[in-house]
Amino acid sequence: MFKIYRVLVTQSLAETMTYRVTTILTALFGTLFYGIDLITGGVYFSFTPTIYGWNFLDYLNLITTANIISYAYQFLFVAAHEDLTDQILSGNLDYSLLRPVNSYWFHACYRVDFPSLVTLLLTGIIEGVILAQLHPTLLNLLLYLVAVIVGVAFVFALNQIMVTLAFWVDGLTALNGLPEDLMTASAQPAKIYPRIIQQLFLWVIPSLAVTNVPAQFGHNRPTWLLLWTILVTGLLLAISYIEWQRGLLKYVSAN
Amino acid sequence: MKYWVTCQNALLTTLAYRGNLLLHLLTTAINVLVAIFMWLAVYNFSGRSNIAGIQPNQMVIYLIVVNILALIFSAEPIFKFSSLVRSGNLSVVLIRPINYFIQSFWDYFGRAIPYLIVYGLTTGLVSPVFHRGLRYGLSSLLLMLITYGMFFLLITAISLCSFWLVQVWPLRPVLSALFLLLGGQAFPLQVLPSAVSWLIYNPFSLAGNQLTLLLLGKLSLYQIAIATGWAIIWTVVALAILKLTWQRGIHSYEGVGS
Amino acid sequence: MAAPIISIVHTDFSYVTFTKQSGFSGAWHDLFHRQKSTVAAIQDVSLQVNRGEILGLLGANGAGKTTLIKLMTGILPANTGSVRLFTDEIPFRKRAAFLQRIGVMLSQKSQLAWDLPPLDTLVLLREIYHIPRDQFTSWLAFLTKELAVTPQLHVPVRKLSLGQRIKFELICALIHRPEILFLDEPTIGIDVSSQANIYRFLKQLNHDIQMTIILTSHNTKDIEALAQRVAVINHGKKIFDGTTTGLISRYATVPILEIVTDGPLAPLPTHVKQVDNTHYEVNATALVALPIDPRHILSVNRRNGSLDAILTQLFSEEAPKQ
Repeated sequence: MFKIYRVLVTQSLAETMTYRVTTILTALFGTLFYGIDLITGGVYFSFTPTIYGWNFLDYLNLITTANIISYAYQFLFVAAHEDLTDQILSGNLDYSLLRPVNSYWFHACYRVDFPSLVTLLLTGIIEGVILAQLHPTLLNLLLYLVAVIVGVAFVFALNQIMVTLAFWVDGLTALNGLPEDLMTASAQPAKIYPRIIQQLFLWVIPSLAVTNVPAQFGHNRPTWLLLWTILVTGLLLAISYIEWQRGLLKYVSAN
Repeated sequence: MKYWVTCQNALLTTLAYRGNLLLHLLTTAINVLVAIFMWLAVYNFSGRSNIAGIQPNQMVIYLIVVNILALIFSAEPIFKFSSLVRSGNLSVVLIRPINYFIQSFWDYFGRAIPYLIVYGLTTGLVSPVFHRGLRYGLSSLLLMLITYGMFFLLITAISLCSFWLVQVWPLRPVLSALFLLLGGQAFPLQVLPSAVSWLIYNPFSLAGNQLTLLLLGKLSLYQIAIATGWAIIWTVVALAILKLTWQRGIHSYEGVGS
Repeated sequence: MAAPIISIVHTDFSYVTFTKQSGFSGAWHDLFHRQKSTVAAIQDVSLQVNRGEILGLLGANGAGKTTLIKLMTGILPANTGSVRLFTDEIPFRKRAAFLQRIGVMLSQKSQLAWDLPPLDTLVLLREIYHIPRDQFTSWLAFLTKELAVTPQLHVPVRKLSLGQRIKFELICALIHRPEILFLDEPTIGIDVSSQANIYRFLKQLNHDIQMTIILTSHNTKDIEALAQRVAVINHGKKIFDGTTTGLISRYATVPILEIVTDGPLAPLPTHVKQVDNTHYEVNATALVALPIDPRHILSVNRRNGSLDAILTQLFSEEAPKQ
């Protein structure tokens, strides 16, 4: 499996090289919008030193972490998901059924998106600087990393579930942007939202938890919510896997 | 009357893709809500009831309206024109007995009708603009109209770069970033230090920030006059660019096409 | 005799379709009460294929050829009956060991990455099928040489001609040296010389390494060039199984000869029917010699005598009522 992945990554790189200008521009725009987030954050905190206990540095930590999760998802999976949507809609999955590999993972890892790697590295470096200022304990730092990985898995699972819906409803691809909207909205401190929204997105679809939890570990405010996000993410992954199997059955019977 | 058909078709197109329209609105709504909650938290924790002359409830309206304006002032003509140039269909359009730019304007207008109605209703019902005497009302209306025309001409002027650029998609994120920052969509430009207060007269700010403040009744007659003046200047600039580049563009287009 | 490598016994496959109603109210109606209808794609088909055979599956569009290929390769599960490959593999279980042994090329589906050279896709397949590097290199060199596409190995797929692309699709299906090769419409839309090249190569593979080849086509040239045996599928049923000449002699019952002459025949000989000035038809049922002066004949064709004509006739027949 690892060897196959290495080939896929090499191929992604080769494709990236074909569209060099696009790659550079995409990376540039990613950075641009992250920059706008930073400036907007700066504007908020020019009027008050803290918001619900988050100072500007904590806030930077939060939005940078949220951006890392988004860009990591984009780097690792977004190109594969776009490709998968096309493949499902154009009915080009037959070969996937004929190869001795796990088709779920094959399609989930089919391509990596190198432009996002640039922005991922950039936000990664900035987060490194922020964490150096926040001084998390070693354990918290470790759990920060765990929480980020869980976050990426969570975003992956949400998107995978949305993309695979194309097996049943072909007009739904427009909804594929929904997880992204959700994650954008979740790149804020949970407490700014009304209680009901907080409850919904901390516990039911824990998108707020997924961004807030690692940020909290970053500034030494550990939370048990991490366990819950792990649990829900595991559940969502399982759901997406079952959905994929069902989708394939539906695919072959509709052919 | 032939342009009226264009306008109608454009409106129907917007409505035909109502799935996309709703989704687009949903995305916008989510972004607006996030900004609203964040600003309310800022008011709450700063203990201020007035930031840059804007009260919390006015900030809510500001954020909603400026985002509607961002939908009204789309950059769509650029991509439409680019596809005409790329496909070679521009030649067909040019031999029709209509003015492409006037048609494009009505298309632009038609597409934005649902948003324009919302903006119009908000102005008519919520805003104090038309309760401040005839002169204030007329000046406000004039500013709106000139700004609308100015922005369309500016976008059209930018669209002419399609003659030379193969790919124009990068303009989409660039323009939306400009509208976010310079148009006052991310935050009102008035919160910035006074050293950069001149920023509010950039075309994006006139379209976003100034028209929103106008709706909130925050502009004095004097400020309306200044904004109108700037809108006229930008209109002239856009027209000049159009005049200068159109002929060259057509030449290079025909050179390639023949 | 050895056991067949493919054994299909009384197999059925049907699928459900939904009929769509037009208009908004139709769409609304469909949302709650969709009109289901069951389509029997394959009905009671039995088929045995021996190792080293080349079998052609003939049929009109929608006759069930592709469905049959999908049943054999395990893309689809059989509803009833049994489909077994090799000694006792059920294709739909998709065991890795089974998938390693079959190669499939489907028309109008592609496994080549559009922006990359074919070599990249092949390297990916090398890893997927765990092919040792040296074996991969030598086998690939052989395949590309035989199909005359070695220089195109490093050219992005989007820049290849259709014929070259099809050849690489074929190489993808062959790269892991499958024991059975399934080809669905292999030569659709490609030029005659590429077709001839592919035919020759497939025959060689079949001869040299005893590769079993199953191909579907509605291009009778494919079948005549390659297949030792044909099975004709019509409306989901197997209506013929045998050699191509067997097929011709079975269906070409009335010997009507179509004759083209260099000029009008006068007077008209008996048993000869004039179509126009130079075209005549002769019913040869009761004749031992042609009643026309051979010096004036430009060509003689037996109607119903070509595979094409027979198939056109067969496939234009109505579906049997169920």
